[in-house]
Amino acid sequence: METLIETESSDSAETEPVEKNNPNGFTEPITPGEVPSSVLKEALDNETPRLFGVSAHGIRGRTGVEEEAAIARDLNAMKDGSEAIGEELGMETIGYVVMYDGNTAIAYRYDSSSSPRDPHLIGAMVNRRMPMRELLKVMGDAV
Amino acid sequence: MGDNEDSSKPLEVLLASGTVRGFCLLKDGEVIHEKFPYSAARLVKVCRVVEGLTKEFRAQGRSVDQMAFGYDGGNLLAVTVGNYRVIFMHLMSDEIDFLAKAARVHLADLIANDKPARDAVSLDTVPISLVKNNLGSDVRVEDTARVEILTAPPTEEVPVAEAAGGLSPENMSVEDLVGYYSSQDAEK
Repeated sequence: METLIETESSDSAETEPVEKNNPNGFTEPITPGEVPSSVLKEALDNETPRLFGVSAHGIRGRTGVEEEAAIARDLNAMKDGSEAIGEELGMETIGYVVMYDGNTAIAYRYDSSSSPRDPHLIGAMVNRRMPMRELLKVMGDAV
Repeated sequence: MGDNEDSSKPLEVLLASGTVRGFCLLKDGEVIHEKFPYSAARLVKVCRVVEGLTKEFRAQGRSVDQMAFGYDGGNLLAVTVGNYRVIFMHLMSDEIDFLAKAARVHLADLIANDKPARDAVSLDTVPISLVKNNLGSDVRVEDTARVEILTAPPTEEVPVAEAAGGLSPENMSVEDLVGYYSSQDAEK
């Protein structure tokens, strides 16, 4: 199955900063490879969802490349599973997937405003079992 | 199947309310009861995908116990507690958390009341076939086990009615019995 999300290598990242083009309103350039520990720490302390912009070109977040790589792996697995189920049930348009992994909630949601040829997703991760409905709402607002 | 239907009754209540369109109850990865608006073959494939995802994460040392999938035509929710799993098919994504809570309570209840396997309860560790061995009280198949019955100690002899004027079932009354037992007590 074709992989939608590919994590970018940090080698190319060293050369030029990348403008964040996710729909979360994050406009500041973040140099990939840089670990914004204060942002991650704040999100973990406040138990607020860390959002990621996902497309075929890569995944962008504010909490460091390690988290981006981790959520990319999870989203690929979730996407494969949701596609297989949707295919079986005759519902091929996927809206979202959410899962609880211990005390962590991980989710992705399709950005309905993005082009079907180049679909964008919003990924989210939060260090608590946040009600799925609330997590979907947060992602919906971000879309 | 009767036990399985009983264990799914609370889930059927959910089926009759809200936007739940179907459910499937699994134990140890096997479907034990389902009311799903799809064929059994499709349902089994869906269950395998959910199981596969769970195993994939488990292989990484993680425990994924709840998954929700949203589609244009409906939502699928899988909740796992112990060796039980429920998969719901429902229409409104707003119901996820409520359904998950209901499923968790029900599955925890099932685990608490889980009966031991029937095979575990057998005499001499050999299951007894009541159909094959039911040959009457005095006849038994060779080599089948017979439970030794402890015989009760002999009871006190029943008083024999005297030939004339004694107690007999025909002329006995309650007063006679009272008199008989009181005289026995007096002798003691």
